[in-house]
Amino acid sequence: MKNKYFLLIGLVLLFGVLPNCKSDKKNVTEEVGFVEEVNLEEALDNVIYVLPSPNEILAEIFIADMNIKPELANSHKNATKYVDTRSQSINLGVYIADFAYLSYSEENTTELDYLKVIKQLSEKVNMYGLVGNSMMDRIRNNLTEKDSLNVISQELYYEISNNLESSNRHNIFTLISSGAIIESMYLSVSTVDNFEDYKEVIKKMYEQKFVFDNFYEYAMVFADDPYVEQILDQLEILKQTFDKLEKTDIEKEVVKNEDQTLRFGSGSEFVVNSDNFKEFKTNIVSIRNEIVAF
Amino acid sequence: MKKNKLLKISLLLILPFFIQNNSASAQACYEFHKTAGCDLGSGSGFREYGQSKSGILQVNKMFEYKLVLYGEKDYKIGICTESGRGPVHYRILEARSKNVLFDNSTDEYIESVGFTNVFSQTIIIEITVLEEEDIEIEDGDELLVCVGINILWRKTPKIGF
Repeated sequence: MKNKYFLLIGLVLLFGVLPNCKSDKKNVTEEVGFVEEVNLEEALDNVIYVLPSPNEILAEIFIADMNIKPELANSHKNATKYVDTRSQSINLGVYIADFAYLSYSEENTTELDYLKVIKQLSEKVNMYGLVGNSMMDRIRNNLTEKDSLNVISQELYYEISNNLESSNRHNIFTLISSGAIIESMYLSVSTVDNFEDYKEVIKKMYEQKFVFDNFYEYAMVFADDPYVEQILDQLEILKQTFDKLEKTDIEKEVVKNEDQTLRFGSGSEFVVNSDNFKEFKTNIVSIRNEIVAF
Repeated sequence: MKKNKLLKISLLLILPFFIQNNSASAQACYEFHKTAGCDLGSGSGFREYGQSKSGILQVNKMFEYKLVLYGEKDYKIGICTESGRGPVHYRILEARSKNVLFDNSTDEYIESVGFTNVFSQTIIIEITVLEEEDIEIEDGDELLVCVGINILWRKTPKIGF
C-alpha cells in the first residue's frame, strides 16, 4: 500500500512539478516570483513604484547642443575590480547610465565595451540572458544610429527591472537603481561647464528630485535588507541634497480644453542659482566617487 | 487515517496544476499593456513612456501606482484589463497634496484620458478593478486580473508661429 502512495507522489512530481524546471533561468525566476509577488505587494502596502530609466532621465535633462564628455563615464576597465555583490550591482547601474550617456555622443565611442561589462556584471548578480548575441548584433549594427542605442539602453533597464521584480530581488534592483540614478545625476552636473548658459538644464536636474523621492520611498521599504543597508548613507546624503533645493509649489489647477483634454497646472518650480548648483554638484560628485571606488 | 492520506494525495495532485496555471497567468500578463487591446494610438508624435506597466491585481482592491510626470509634456494614460474585466475605477492624484486631478467615475469609467502636464510632479494613479462582490469563485484566479497601464507622451507642441 505504501509503495502505491510513493508511486502516486512520484507521478505527481514527474508530471506536475518537473515541467516547471526548465533550463531557462528567466522563466524559473518568473514562476517563483509570482507566488510571492502578491505577498510582497501587501508588504509594499499595495503601492507600485516605477522609475524612469537612465536614458529617460538624461533625455529629460539634456538639450540638443550639450557637449557630451565620454571621459566622464566610469572606465569599463574598472568592472573586474568590483568583486562583491553590492559593488557589482551598484556599478551595473552606473554602467547602464554610462551606456545611455555615451549614446548621446556624436562620436563612435566605446558603447560595445560598456555593453560587455553590463553583460558580465549582470551575470555576476545572477541575471542571465540579459545581453544576448542578438542584442550585441543590434548594437554593432546601430553604432552610428544613436537613437537606436538609446532605445536599447531603455530596454535593458526595464528588462532588469522586470526580471528582478518577478524574482522578488528588490534589494538588488535597489542597488542597481541607486547606481543608475547617482551616475545619471553625476553625468548631468559634470557635463555643464557654464552655469549661465544652462539654467534651464539645471532646473531639469533639480526636477529629478521627484524621481529620487519616489525611488527613496521604494528603497526604504527594504531598508533592513543587508544589501540595501550598505547604500543608505549615500541615499540619505542625496536626499538631503535634493531637499535643500528651494522651490515654489503651485496649487491644484485643472482646466478642461475644448478638445476635452485636460491641463494639469499644478506642480513645483525650482529656484536655480549658482550657489545652490555649486553645492548640489559637489555633493553629487562626492557620492558618485564613493560608489565607483573599489 | 486513510482519509487523511487520500486528502494529502489529492492536494499533491492539484497543487502543481495551480502553480503552473498561476505562473502562466503571470507570464501572459507581462507587457500586456503593449497588446492591441491596450493600444492608445501613437500618432501625433506620441511615443511610449517607459513607466507603462502591467501587473496582476486583485479585484475590488485598490492599488496605487506612483510615478513621475515631467513638465511641458502631453500624456495619454489608458487602463485595460484582460478579457475586458471591470470596469476599472481610476483616479489621478497629486502625490504631494493628494488633490484629485481626474476621476474616471465622473466620466462613465472611461478607459483613457489625455492631458497636458505643465510642471514636473509625482502623481498617484489609484486603480480598482470593480466586480460584483458575490462573484462565483471557481478557483483563485477569478480574483486576480491582469491590468495594463499604457502611457504615451510627447513634448507639448508650441502654439503660434
